[in-house]
Amino acid sequence: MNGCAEVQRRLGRYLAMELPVAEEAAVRAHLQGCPVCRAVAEECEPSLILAGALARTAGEADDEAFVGGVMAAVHQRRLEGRIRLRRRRWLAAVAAAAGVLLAGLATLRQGPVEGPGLAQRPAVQVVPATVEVEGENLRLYQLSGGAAGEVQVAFIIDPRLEL
Amino acid sequence: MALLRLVQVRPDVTRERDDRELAAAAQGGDESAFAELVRRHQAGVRRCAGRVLGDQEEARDVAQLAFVRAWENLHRYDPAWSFSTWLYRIATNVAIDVLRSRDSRERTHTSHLRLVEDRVGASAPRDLAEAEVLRIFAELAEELSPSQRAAFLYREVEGMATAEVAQILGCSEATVRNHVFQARAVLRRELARRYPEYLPRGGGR
Repeated sequence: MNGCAEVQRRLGRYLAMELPVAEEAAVRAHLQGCPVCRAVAEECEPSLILAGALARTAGEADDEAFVGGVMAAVHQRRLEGRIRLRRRRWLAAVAAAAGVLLAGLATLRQGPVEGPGLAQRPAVQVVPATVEVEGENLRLYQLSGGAAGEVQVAFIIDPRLEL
Repeated sequence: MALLRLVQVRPDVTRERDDRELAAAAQGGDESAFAELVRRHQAGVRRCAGRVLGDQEEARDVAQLAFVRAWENLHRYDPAWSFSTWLYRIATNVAIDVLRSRDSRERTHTSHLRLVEDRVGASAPRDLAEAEVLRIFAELAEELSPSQRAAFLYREVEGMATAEVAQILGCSEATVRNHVFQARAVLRRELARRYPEYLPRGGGR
């Protein structure tokens, strides 16, 4: 579509946004390069004066500093994400330990069982229980002692920190 | 005798990776691929955000936030879409949120003054005319809803097809047409009321 007459014949449908995509693109391209047809279109639809003037304003230049700013923000978000993940694992470990503790307390409150049971066991459990939480070792120690039958529990996340 | 020689065409190994390839690499955690996407689309995103918001500084912040959100949501990117359409959709949503949360006129007025002041001075007359165009559009666009403003800018200024604008705005093509028609009507009316000197002699419809 090259001729002005052909473009102007389609102008009504172009402004009504009824043209197929390819025809619409052709009319648009023609209007950009033909001041006569553009004037006709702008007379029919004066808001195109503003649209055309805006389209001719200079765009934004490439800015490497902007790219650097975006990537720095991306790094920051990634770091925050990792910290959040570690915190979640830690909380999961604490929750698991608390669950084991509550289960232990519930068992103690049920009282001694018949036969050789808790009463005959040593006061301090030597063999630690180990709970695996999301790939990290959680070693749980249950220390029972004291006249009132209190139970003390200590746990560490990293077995290398064991005293 | 003519000698026919078969020439084996080597695949162009230096061919630029297209957006979808880069997006796929970025989805796998490749930050340099994502940086390349930012480099490719930054000017367009900043320009569109600037036109929607009428404030270049705010547009820069919005564009940065849009890219960061794109990075965070790369797992949701569907390669059936053009990457730029998906990106413009994110940027437009951020810009529209900013427009809606703006305490409107006073702040916009201040930004327009700053825009004009920035461009006047040692610049050439062309820059002044450009600033005038931006100022007039920003003033008249105050009468448009954020969706009407975005639809008009993408369709009439950026020259995008109605279907693409619909994808960016997350609505139907009929809705885009409706937004554009309404935006045109408002701009026509306000142009005639405030700046009749810019209208063609016929006065339009």
